[in-house]
Amino acid sequence: MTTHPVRPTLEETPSFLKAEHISVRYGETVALNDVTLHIPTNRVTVLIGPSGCGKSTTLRCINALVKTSSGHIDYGDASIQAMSETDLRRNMGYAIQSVGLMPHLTVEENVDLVPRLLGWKRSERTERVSRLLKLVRLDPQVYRNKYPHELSGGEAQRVGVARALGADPPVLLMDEPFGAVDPLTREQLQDEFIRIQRQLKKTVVFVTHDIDEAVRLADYLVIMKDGMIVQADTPEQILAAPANEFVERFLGPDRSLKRLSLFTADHCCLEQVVSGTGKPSEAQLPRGSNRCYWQVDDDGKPIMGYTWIHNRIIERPITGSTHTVQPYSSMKECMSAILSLGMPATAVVDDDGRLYGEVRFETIQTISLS
Amino acid sequence: MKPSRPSAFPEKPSVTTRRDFAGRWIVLVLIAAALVLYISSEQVQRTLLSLIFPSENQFTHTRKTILQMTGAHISLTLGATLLSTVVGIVIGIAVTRNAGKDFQQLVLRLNSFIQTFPPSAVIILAFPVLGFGWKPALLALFLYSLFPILGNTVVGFQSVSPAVIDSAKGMGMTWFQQLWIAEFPQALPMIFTGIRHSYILNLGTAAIAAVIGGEGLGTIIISGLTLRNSALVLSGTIVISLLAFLGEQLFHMASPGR
Amino acid sequence: MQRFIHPIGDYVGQIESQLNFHRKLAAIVLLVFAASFFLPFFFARENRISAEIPVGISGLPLLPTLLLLIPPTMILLYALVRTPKASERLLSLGAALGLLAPLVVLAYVGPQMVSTIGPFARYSPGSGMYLYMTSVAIVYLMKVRIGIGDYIGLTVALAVVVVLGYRGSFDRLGILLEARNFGTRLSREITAHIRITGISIGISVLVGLPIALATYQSRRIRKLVFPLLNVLQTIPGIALFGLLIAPLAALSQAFPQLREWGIKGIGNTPAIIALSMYAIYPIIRYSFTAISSIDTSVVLAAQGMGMSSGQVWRIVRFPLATPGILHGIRVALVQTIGNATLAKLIGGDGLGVLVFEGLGQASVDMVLLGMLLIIVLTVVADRIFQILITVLTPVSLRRERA
Repeated sequence: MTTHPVRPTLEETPSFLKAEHISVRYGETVALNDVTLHIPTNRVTVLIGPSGCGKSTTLRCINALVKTSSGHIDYGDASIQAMSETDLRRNMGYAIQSVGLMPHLTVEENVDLVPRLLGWKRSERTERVSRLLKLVRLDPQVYRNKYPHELSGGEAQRVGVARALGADPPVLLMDEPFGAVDPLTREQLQDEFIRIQRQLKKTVVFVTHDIDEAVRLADYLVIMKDGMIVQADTPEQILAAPANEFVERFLGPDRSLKRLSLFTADHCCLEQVVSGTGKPSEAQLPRGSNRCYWQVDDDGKPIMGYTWIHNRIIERPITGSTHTVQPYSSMKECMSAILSLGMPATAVVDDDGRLYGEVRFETIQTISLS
Repeated sequence: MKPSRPSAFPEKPSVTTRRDFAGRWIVLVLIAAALVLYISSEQVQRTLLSLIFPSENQFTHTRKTILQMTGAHISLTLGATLLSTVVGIVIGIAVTRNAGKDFQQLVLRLNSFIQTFPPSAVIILAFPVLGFGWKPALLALFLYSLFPILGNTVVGFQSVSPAVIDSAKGMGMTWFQQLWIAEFPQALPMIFTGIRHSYILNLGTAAIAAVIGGEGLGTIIISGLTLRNSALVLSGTIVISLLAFLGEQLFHMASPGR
Repeated sequence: MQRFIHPIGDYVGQIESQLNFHRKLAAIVLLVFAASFFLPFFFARENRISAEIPVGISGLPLLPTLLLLIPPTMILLYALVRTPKASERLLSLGAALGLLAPLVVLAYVGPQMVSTIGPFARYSPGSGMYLYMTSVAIVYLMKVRIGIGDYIGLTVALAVVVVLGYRGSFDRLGILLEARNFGTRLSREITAHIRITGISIGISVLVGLPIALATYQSRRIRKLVFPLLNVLQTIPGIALFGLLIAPLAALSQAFPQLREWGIKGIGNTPAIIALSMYAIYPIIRYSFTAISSIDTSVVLAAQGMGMSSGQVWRIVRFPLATPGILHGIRVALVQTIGNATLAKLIGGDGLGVLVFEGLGQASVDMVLLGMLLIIVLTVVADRIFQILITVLTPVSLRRERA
């Protein structure tokens, strides 16, 4: 298993969405001041900054919901100003904080709005809706005919994402989509987002004000203030070398801890496990080793962890989701699980809950010190 | 939005069960039957009215049958309501689009200004300004009932959540698709209330329009009032009331609720 | 942080959006102006009942026509001029002149025209002039702020009209001739109208407020009252009047003593009864809403303090509900003034007399006079009531209402 942190790099990615020297003025106020941004393709670009910094405005310039007072945005080899607005927007997914589902339409009718606008056939659309709902982990049978007011915040947000992905657009614009839900749901939605993005590899422009979310999701992080870009680079770079005092303060005092969010379990430190259905034997858990042994049930789900501490084998029952992590959970979550379980490693489970691997504390230590 | 006749008390949420619906149909049919029976048979009119007013000797208008007058009245009412629905919705939509937003203030101010006048005032004012006859009457009815619909349309569209509009635009809907798919269904309940209000308004005002040449049930009522013949007055009143109840039932059944 | 403002671009942007609004406003106003030129500007009549002779713009001599064209021209200039201050001034001036011009034209051309027709001739404004004034009204309705300049303009216009009136230019104006014909009867009818309205409102307040209270307190009464009122609201106005005549007439036929009390099928009394019944609806409705929408936390606080039920009513509920109740009475008042017009139909007095006799005689001016007076009454009553409401609303609540 690899122990080198692997994250998608930016060097080889071309950029077909380029904003050049755009400014936006409303009367006397300047919302954007000479912003130049090249969005890397197939990557997640996160725009972040304090309120009023212009991040949402930048996003909305890309799909022409906001008209630039000067400068231009190129989409491929054409300028956005030259294109028809409606055509442009139908090729971009748009998900907003308050979701904006049509209250009088069912979930299914909401999700297939853009395909409908594009003229897809009914059979194609029905199939597409099923696939999208499954993608966001909502059972199509249960949810297709529900109305927005019957959904919880998290469910509505998932439908919003499904709707944005409706016609399989190459670009996805998201404006604080996870802002309006509770922190637990937000984390789940972030997990889903990572999972979906790994699968689909869209070009995503994501606006948030939550630095932890930004560090977790971004391949390319853009920090803005007062309508200008302060620093734009990979999250690792920014965390390692903030450009000025504002960025330092913005990142917060626990920068090094934040670095842990950059890496996901499976990209850096997944290890083979030693497991079985009964108690550990001498061979499986040698005396004095700092390894762990995991006891699994018939389904393969871990139920107990064993390790040597101070010349005694201790066992810890695995109950609840705080004791396990998923492959795309961040290292920060792995740390948290390690601490809450009280073992030198944490069990990694797949989508069905089956034991998959483990993340060791010493690996995390090594990575964070490097 | 204050219509000159304030709308009803807060109603219970309309959950129409199947039994409710069947019940409404029965009531509807009963009212309609009573109506048709009454206006088509002079015998029925005579019998009913002589029961209530034994001392009167004239129960029907000398020159116009109640059937004719009901027909005229209905055409006046429906004509005005139809016109004001179409024009009201069109202007309401125009004024809530980006291009027309500047006129919203004008429309709303005009609305509250006109609504302070009771219907009788507006109808009677039509005479010096527009003249005598059914055309001025129709015009006056149309102009007056325009405003409840217009006002409700504007308020209905204003109440569409901005998130819905933003996501509709962001999805790439044309202005028409945005209007038709996203906004109109949301505004519809309010618009519908306005239309219902206008219908009732027109029904009553058309009766007053009789004085400026809009023939209808008002002709009968007013002739009864001037001749001091209560039977005639009641006759016209019965028909108008039945028409009003009929309308209310139809609107209730057709209302776009959830 | 430095605010970077591009001076020229910004200014242009501001101007552009303002210009857009100017253009739209001017477009609508000019449209209505143009329409008004196609309709007869005023009517001349040989005598009270003869046919009307329409006089359009084309029938006017040169000078008045030019005078009438000045306000539209100013509105046009307002749309084209680029400096905001100048265009605002043009707009205000144009609107004030728009009020003045037709009246002045009427004052000069009218008498000239009727003197050529005959000794009993009279003139009255036509739909064209009304439409002309409507476009001026649109200007005022669309103005974001009504400034000092506008008030000055309106006062000047009013002053000119009064002066012209004194000089006798409006002597042969149809409405004024009718008013003179009526003489003292006019003031009698006005008083009667006010009296009928007042008594009706009084009754409906005395009856309606307790009912509203009872409806608030008791669920059973609510179940009774709500549907009844819904039904009442469904039945159109004149039908309601009619429905009342019948029982009252029947009653008075059955019990002749009632006739002595004035309860007959006709006359002022049934009118008052009908008007009261009509006015009860808004009073009950608004009073009920006012009482039931009092913030319950305030009531709870008062009760928690140890106030008795009566004290809660006196100190908390009633003062808080007062603005709403007064509003309901105001709505009822305005409604009743208008509805009292119909009192004439059932033999009562009031300005309806003018209206219906005018309709009967096909005398436009009489009807206009009646309606004008009714409208003036309505506006005056409304304003007085507004002041009353402001005075009677507890001071601390006034800011809320503003």
